[in-house]
Amino acid sequence: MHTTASRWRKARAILLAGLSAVLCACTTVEPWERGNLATPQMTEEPADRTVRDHIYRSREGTAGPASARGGGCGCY
Amino acid sequence: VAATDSCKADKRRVDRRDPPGALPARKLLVVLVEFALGSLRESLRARARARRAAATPPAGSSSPALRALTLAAMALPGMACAAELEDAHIQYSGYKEGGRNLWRGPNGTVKAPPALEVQSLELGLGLRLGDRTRLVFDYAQDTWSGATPILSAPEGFLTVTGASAYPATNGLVNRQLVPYGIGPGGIGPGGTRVPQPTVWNVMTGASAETRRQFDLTLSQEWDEAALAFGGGISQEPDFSSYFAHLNGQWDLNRKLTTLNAGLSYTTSDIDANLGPPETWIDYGQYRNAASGPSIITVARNGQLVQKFVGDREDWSANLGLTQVLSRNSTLSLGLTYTHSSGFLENPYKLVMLAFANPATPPPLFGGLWATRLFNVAESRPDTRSQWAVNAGLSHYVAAARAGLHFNLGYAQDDWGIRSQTAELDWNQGLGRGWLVTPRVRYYSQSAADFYQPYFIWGQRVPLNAAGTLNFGAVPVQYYSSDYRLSAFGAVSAGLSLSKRFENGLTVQAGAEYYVHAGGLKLGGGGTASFADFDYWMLSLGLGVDLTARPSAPDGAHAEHVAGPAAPSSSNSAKRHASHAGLLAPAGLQYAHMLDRSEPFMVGYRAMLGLQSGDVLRGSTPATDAQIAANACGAVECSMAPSKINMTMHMLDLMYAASDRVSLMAMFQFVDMDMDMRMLDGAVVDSGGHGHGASMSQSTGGLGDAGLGALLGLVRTADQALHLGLALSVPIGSVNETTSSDVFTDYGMQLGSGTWDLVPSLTYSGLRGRWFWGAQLNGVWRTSDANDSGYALGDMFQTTAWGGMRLTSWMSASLRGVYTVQNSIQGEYNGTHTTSSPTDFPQNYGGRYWDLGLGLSFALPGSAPRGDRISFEWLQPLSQDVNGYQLERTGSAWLNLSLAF
Repeated sequence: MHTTASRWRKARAILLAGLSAVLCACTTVEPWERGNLATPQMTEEPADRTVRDHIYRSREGTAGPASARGGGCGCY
Repeated sequence: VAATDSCKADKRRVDRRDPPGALPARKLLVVLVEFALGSLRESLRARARARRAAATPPAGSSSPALRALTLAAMALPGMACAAELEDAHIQYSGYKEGGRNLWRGPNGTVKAPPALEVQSLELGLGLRLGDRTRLVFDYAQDTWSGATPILSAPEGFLTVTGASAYPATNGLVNRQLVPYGIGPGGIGPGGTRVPQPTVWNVMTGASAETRRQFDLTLSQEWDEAALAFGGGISQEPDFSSYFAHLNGQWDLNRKLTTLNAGLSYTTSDIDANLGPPETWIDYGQYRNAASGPSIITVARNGQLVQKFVGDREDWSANLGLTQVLSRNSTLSLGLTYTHSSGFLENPYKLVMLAFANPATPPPLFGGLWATRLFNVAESRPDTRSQWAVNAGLSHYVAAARAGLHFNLGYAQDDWGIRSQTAELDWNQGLGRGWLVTPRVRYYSQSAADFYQPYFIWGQRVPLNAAGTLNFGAVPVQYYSSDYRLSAFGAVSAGLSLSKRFENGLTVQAGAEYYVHAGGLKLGGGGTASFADFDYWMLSLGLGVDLTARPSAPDGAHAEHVAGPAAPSSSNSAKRHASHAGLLAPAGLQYAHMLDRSEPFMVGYRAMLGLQSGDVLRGSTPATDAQIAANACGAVECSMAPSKINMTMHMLDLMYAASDRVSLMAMFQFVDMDMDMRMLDGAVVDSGGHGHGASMSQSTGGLGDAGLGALLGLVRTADQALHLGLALSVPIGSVNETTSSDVFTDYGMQLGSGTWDLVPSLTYSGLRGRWFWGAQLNGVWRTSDANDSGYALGDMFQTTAWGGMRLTSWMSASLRGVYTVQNSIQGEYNGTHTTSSPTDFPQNYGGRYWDLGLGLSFALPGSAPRGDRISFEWLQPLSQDVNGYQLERTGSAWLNLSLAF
């Protein structure tokens, strides 16, 4: 059985591990080491992304991040 | 860099020729145009240039007319050089719903309505205004048609009229409020009543509508920051939106961390057409409301229609952070707040409110209560606030050369909707520019507090003095049966494929299948299966990145099309003539051949065709009495078209197999809008239920495709003759229907439905400043009838043009066109509308004379290539129509062609 305190310690440890991973990363990745991050596989979205988002927005109850950017009624 | 330099050089050349008297006008134009483009910096530069030019002496040798034309053109280098086309894309997508469980009625007579379909086109242009300034223009249009749920109700509360299901006005329930319907034995004295609680959708067919959206974004970059702002409009017959957006981005920590923030605002006007008044719908709560959404009845074209009018505002703010975690991973976090207010209802959705009265009249059929049913417009709160968070991890899997993108989202609003989203994309590089992306997405939401498939209360009906529903006494204030607010889950899977060529062309295709089901809700408890549906979405696109094009072959077009006429080698002089077609008017097809020096061409052609004014009989206006009596064959016409607009977008691809043979492929997206009017003295016939009355119609989607070749026959130093042969492939629909699911008129169909041969013969010449040409072309239908039973008439056209290069980068043209088109052969092999002249085959085709005025511009920085943008207006001079037809008022053409 986990007590609330032990759960909290565990969550804190995960959070710290995550934060330290972020901070470590900040100091190590030099611009010339970012070749993989600049590949089309990492940077490009399929061209039909916009039209898919428009359909999701008009079919689902959640407005989505770009909801206040036109898009029309979509009320069919 | 070279392109920018040539642009500047061109501008200097123009400046030197600038007559001093033109300066104030030119300055004003340059400032106006550039202000419109939003580039203040460029405008300051242009003014500085103009000041320098004022000190130089005038050229002074050209004729006054030429000077006036040149003067008009002077405004353009500022705009042209300020904006350099960098990239462009075009994308088609088709969406089709299915998978709905539809009620067929007790005898199976209820007709399944046509599935909802959406056909969309999207275009984008990216322009560079300065080293770090970009302007992006986006245009999107979608046409939707088919049937959509209007309300949901238990089977016991539904009745059947003809082939349609309608909600009943009275029902029966037991003490637990379970709906009962007619059982074995029918409605007669021996009949029984059985529980029928299963909920079904009532579907409504609606007339097709087209939405158009324009969006302009200006962005500026600095070393460690970027700012973008823009706005646009979205227009559809019942809904207009105006929006603005601002986004900032700030790089920190040597670009390992990026912060971004955005704000956007939309204001929308709703003007929904609810059609003629219907006895089975009670719009009492909104009728002539003093504030907020209101339903009013107006007379339109001699017919009473109800309009649901109101407005809404949406604000959205978001904050985001992207962090580089390692040389292979990035993390992004986002927070979005959205606030909406005003008319948040879906104007077309109804809700069934049921009141089971335990007191009077006495229980029937062994203890069942009589229940009054009201079908009313839905009611939602006037405001909605929503918070959304999302987290995404992107990881480069080096072993597979793939990018893995995983996103999680959570949102909640004050309507009670909580949603979760998870999405996984695997972006696989396959080498040689190929990228394939399989993806899956899961979405789940809880229902809004005020969502129910229908509402029922065991109480006396709250009536007001007039005996109608007293909305003030309905037990709940808000109620909706829109499936978007129900509890459900959705799973979708898709695949996108793209290939990038070295010359900067990218082609892409994508597909997605999506399933919406109450049973897929996270943790269970979703809405029943009546609301389930699925859809397919397919997309095809082409993009061009002009910055990635290889440098132009030396002198490919420069000296004979864009540059001054200079002596050149005989080989180049021969090409000179073949490229005369490049200057041909924008409305002319098959006029331009390619050669191997730049073997690819990507062209975009747009046309807006307008008809309005009188209905002609032959060449003279017909009276309403003549139209009514004669234009509709054996029956009497009750309506006539008052306005028809047609737009066409065409993607035109060409490849030079050799210097003498160019291969072509053409794809079209077309849409039509037609407004009708009642003829004087005609009997008003109101349409069925649903949104959009029959007084206007729209269609839109893919048109026919074309495949063909141009063959060079003769080519001299300054003249050329070539033959064109194209085959029109009937992929455009000839099954478009009205909201009543019968064929709409012939002119509204998107394709011909027949395989057509399209031959052409083009002669063109170019000498000094002058160019000229002539073309014969025709369309020959290879069969007498398409799948819908008819064939469009054959067409023959002859045209001749002449023009002059006014500057090194601009030319003007004048042409005459004579067209003969035969009437339609055969007729629809199914039920179709019969109330207007446009519904009859004999009222198609005719003989037409048109005059064309054209302008053509070399794209800035493209002088060595021959990229051009051209415009043409075709003005009808004389029309002699077959039968009775709405007169043509003209057509506008735009043609953009890019060489690769």
